[in-house]
Amino acid sequence: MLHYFANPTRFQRLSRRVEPWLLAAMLVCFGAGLYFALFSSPVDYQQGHTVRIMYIHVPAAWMALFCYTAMAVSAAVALIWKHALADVAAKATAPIGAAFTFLALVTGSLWGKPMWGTWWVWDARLTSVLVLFFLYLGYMALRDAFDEPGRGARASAILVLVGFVNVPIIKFSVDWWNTLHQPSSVLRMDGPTIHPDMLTPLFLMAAAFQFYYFWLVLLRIRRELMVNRTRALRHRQASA
Amino acid sequence: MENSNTIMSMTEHAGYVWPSYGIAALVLIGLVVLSLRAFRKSRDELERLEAQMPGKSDEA
Repeated sequence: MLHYFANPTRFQRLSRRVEPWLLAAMLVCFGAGLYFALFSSPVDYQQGHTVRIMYIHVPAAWMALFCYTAMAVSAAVALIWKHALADVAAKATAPIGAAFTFLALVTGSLWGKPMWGTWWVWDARLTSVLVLFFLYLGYMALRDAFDEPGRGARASAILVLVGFVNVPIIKFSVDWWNTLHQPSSVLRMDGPTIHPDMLTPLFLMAAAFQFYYFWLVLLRIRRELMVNRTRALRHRQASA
Repeated sequence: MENSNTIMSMTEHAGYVWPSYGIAALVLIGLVVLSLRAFRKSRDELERLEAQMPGKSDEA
């Protein structure tokens, strides 16, 4: 089935059909999520209103890891099976993942100052997320550093796969090392430790970010396919 | 510590909460705008090229 949809023409047709639904789902989730996050959810008895930063910070951090994992899978498929669409998917994902990582870092800092008394500490969680941000930037820079696009795609795919070691480090950093950052409070074996009134906006915003990613990545993949086709036509035009 | 539940009554931490939402909106909307602009530019370029090369437009 994966092979069936990997055909660029078939993919474009399917993508054009799915995109409006993703856009609608994204807008509904953002609308409901922002309402609950800003107006309907309670303040935290210790953190006050700063708990509302969680509804941006946590989904952004989840998406930072999700996008990198998606990039690593795409890079592996592109390297092993030479799938052109997988390579394009990795390229299209990188700026979105970098944006989510940037948001996780900035909102974390804005949350850290009033709660921890500092904008930044060089502990394992924060530093490993900063490394993730540099991995995204490094991928984008390396990809465009070669005259021959195939070589750039191969080199950057290897970088993504090597950098994937950072993903479990980020996830388990709060368990392995002493840190100011709190341990997992949603994705736990014994269930979430957050009140349901706060889980509702958190999950709605997480869904909104997911739909945002899928809508935008499909659009960006379609754009990359057009760029590739333009390059091929120019090449044919020049050699005719 | 702020006790009121409504966001409009937020005073103490407004300088941290609102910038978080503002920066998030700026980054997410900005990326959409840049992506859409690049998409339209690439689409127009491809259409122009395909018009110059009749018979090639239906190829994958």
